[in-house]
Amino acid sequence: MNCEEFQTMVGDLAREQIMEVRVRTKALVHGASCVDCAQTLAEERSLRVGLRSLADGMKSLEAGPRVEAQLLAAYRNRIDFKPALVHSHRWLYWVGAAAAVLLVVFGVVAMRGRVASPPRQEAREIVKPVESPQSPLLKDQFASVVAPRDTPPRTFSNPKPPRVKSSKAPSRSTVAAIAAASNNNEIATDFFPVGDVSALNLQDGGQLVRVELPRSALARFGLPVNMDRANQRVKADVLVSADGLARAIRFVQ
Amino acid sequence: MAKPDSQTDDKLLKLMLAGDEEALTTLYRRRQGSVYRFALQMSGSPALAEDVTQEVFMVLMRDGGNFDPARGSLNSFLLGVARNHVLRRLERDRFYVPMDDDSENEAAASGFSATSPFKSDGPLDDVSRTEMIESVRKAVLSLPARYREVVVLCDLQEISYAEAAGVLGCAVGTVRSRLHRGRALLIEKLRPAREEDSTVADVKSERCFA
Repeated sequence: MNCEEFQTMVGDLAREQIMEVRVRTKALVHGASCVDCAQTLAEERSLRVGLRSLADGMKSLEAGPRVEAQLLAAYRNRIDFKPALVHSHRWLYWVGAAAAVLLVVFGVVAMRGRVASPPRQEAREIVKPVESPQSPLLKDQFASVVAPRDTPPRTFSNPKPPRVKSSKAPSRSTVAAIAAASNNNEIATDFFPVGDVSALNLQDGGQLVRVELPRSALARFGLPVNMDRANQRVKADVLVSADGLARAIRFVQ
Repeated sequence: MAKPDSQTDDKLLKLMLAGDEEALTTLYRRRQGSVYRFALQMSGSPALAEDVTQEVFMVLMRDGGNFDPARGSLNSFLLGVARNHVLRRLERDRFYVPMDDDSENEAAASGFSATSPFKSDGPLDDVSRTEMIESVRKAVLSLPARYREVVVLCDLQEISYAEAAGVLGCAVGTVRSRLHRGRALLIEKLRPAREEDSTVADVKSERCFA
């Protein structure tokens, strides 16, 4: 046995802990032959004696009778409301469990309703071919699905059902939907093409955006304008393609 | 029905939680000593030790249902609660400095009496033993808390390493290593006093490499 091994067990040796006889004998032999280790063992034993003396000196110490009296008083008071305390804990537990179950059921129902509901066919309609003097070729491209006048505007030419965005900031389509939903009794013209329109632009989807324009803008699309009210503004839905450009417009009243 | 004195701690606890005041009294009288001494040895303050003892049994009255006999003895549970309260109080009171630093008054205040339990060979022997014990007490109190608690539990309360590990919520190996370190620190702190008293000439020793 070397000093390092001796140091690891000198505490147990001094405390007279149970250990193998062979190991104990080796340790004692080493302690007898090494001055430093012998001193360490002597110090440990001396410390052991000191600690034991301290423990013995404090063995009779106890808390004062005041503590017991206060505890008993508290115990007597506590017994009265203890069952109510336990009951309230149980009540909270059951309320929490019921709330959790309701939350799960509600979530499952909501998810199933969302998954099971097919895309609203009634919300889609074939837009009448736009009879515009500017672009007769738009009949084909506007044969795609476009939101009707009396339903909230939605993205079009997208076979998937619309996704609900988790973002709190309202998107443009959301704003348009809100605007349209608040004006279900509006009367709208057909869509008029704006700028260069091709079928490719509309296949990627788009959005309807509610804007206000000067009434004089009606004349640009061949619609009659009352010059007395030319300065007033008129509402319009602008069809914006995925690339951000306005592709068509309809006027709303 | 058996007398409360002869019943186990677990049984007494159940009776106490069921409203048996006598069970509380028996349990308190059986276990308050070790809790009080542990708090006193950790803090050196009888007032704090009494407060902690009271708080520990209040916790037992309130949350005694949480005690699981499979995880350890009730004594370990109580010492664990006491340890938490002592450490909290020491942390809270560390900014306060005791006004009276006189060792005799301090020892008297702690309720410690070195003379009674020992055989006395004479007045000088009493004095030296008292001084020695007092120096050990001070050395223990000056240890860092993590070492002090294992020294108090294993050397002063004389509980097993496993039980101490249960009280402290750590591994047995951790208890052993902390105890080893704590004892080394104690020897270091007590060495100057002993060297001063020593009349034996210092012998220069060489490290053994055997």
